[in-house]
Amino acid sequence: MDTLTSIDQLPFSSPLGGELVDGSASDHALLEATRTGDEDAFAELVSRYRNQLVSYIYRMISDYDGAVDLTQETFVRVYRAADRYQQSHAFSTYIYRIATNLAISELRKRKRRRLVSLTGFFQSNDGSEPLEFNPPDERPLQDTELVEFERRAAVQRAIGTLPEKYRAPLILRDVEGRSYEEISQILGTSEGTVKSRISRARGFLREKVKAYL
Amino acid sequence: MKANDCKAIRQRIDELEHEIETNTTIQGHVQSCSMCRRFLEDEKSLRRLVASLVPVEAPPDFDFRLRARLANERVSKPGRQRIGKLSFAGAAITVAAVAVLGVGIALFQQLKPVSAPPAVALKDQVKPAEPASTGAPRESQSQETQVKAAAPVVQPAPKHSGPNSVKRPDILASERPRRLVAIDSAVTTPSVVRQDDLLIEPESQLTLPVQTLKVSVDDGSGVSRTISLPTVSFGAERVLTNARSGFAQPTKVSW
Repeated sequence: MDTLTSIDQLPFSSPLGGELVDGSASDHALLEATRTGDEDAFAELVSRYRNQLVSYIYRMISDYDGAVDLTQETFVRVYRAADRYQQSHAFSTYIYRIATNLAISELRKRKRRRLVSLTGFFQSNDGSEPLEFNPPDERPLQDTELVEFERRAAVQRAIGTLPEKYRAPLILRDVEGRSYEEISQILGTSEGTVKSRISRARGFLREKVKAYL
Repeated sequence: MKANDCKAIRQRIDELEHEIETNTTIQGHVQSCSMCRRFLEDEKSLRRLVASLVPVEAPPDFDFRLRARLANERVSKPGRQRIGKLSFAGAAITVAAVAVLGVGIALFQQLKPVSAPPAVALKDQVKPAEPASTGAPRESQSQETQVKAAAPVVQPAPKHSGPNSVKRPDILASERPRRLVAIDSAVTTPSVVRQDDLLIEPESQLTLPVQTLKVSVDDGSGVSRTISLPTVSFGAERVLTNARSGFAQPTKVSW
C-alpha cells in the first residue's frame, strides 16, 4: 500500500494528466480544464489569485482572518459555477467581482451587527466618520522602519473608514493598479462613475492622512 | 486664472496616472497656479502612500483548507440530494395521509346515520291495514305515567312523534324509514294534524288508529320492555295543539 506523504496527493486528481498546468495557460483555459474535472488546473488558478484576493479583501474589510475566509469562499463559488462561466470578460474581472461582492456583503453585515468598538468613544460630533483613536506619542521614533509601519497602518485605517462605494474603486485603482475599464466591469458601473468615486475617495483620504503627506 | 480651469486641471490630474509628467497642459498650468501645484504634490504623495501598502499573503495552509472544503462539499452533496428526496417523500406521505383522512371523514359522515343504533326498536310493527300511530302523548294520566317510566330509553322517540312531528311532517316522513321500520304512509292514514287545517275546518274529523300501539324497548342489556300506547283521542289532539305554542302546559288547564 502506498503511503501518502502530502495533502496534494489526496483529493485532487488530473484526468488530463496536468497538460495545461504549466503556468503559461490562460485563465480561461484553466477554468475550462476545471470544468472537465482537472483539479490541478483549478489549483493553478488558486495559486495565481489567492494572494491578490487576500490582499484586496484585506484592504476592503481590514480583517486578515475574514479576508482569508472570504477568499476561500470566492474560490469555492468559482469552482461551483465553473460550468456556468462565460468568457465574455477576463477571468480576473470575474473573480474580483465575486470577491468585491462578498467583501461588500461582509461590510454591510458588520455594520448591521453594530460591533462595539473600544474606539467607539471617539466618535465625531457631527455624526460622520468615527475619528481614529490615535493618541499622540511624543517620544522620538526608533527608526525609519517603524515610521513606515505607522504610516501604512494609518493609511489602512483611513481606507477602512471610507464608504464602501468609494473604498472599492480606490483600492482597485491605487492599490491594485487596475484600469478604469476593468474597475467599471468589476463594480458594474460606468467609467465616469468610477472616476468620480475615485476622485471623491482621494479627497476623503487626503484629509484623513494629511499629517503623513 | 479661472476657477473653471483649475477644476478641469485637477480632474485631469485625478484621472491621469504617469501621463501627468508629460501632459503639457497640466505642467503649464501648475507652473502658474500655486494651488494646483500644491494639489498635484499632495496627489502624488497620496498615491505613493497608498501604493506603499504592503500586499498581504494568504496563509500557508490556504490551499489545504480550500481543498478540504471542496472535498467536503463533494462528499456532502449526495447527502443533500438524499435529504431532498426524503423531504419529497415526506411531502407525498403527508398529502396521501390528508387525502385518506378526508375520504374517511366523508365516508363516516355518509354512513353515520345508518350505522347509528336506534334507541327504540319497534319489534311489533304496525299492520299495513291499521292506521299508523305516531306515539303522541295520551290523555289519560295513567298512560302518561307509563310513557314517562320508559322515558330514559324512549327519549329520542318523541322527536318523531312529539309536537314537532305535527309541525313538520316532511321531516317526519323523510326520517321515518330510518327510525320506524315498515310504516307505509301511503297505505296508512297519516296521523299528522295541522293546526291550520283545524282552524279552517273545525268540524273535520281525524281518522285515528283504533288499536293500541305496542312498542318494545330494548335497553341493550337483554331486558325488553313493552309499552302499550292506547288509541289517540281528540284529547291528545288538543294536547298536541297546545304543545305547538312552544311551552308545555299542564293537562289540568281548562281549555
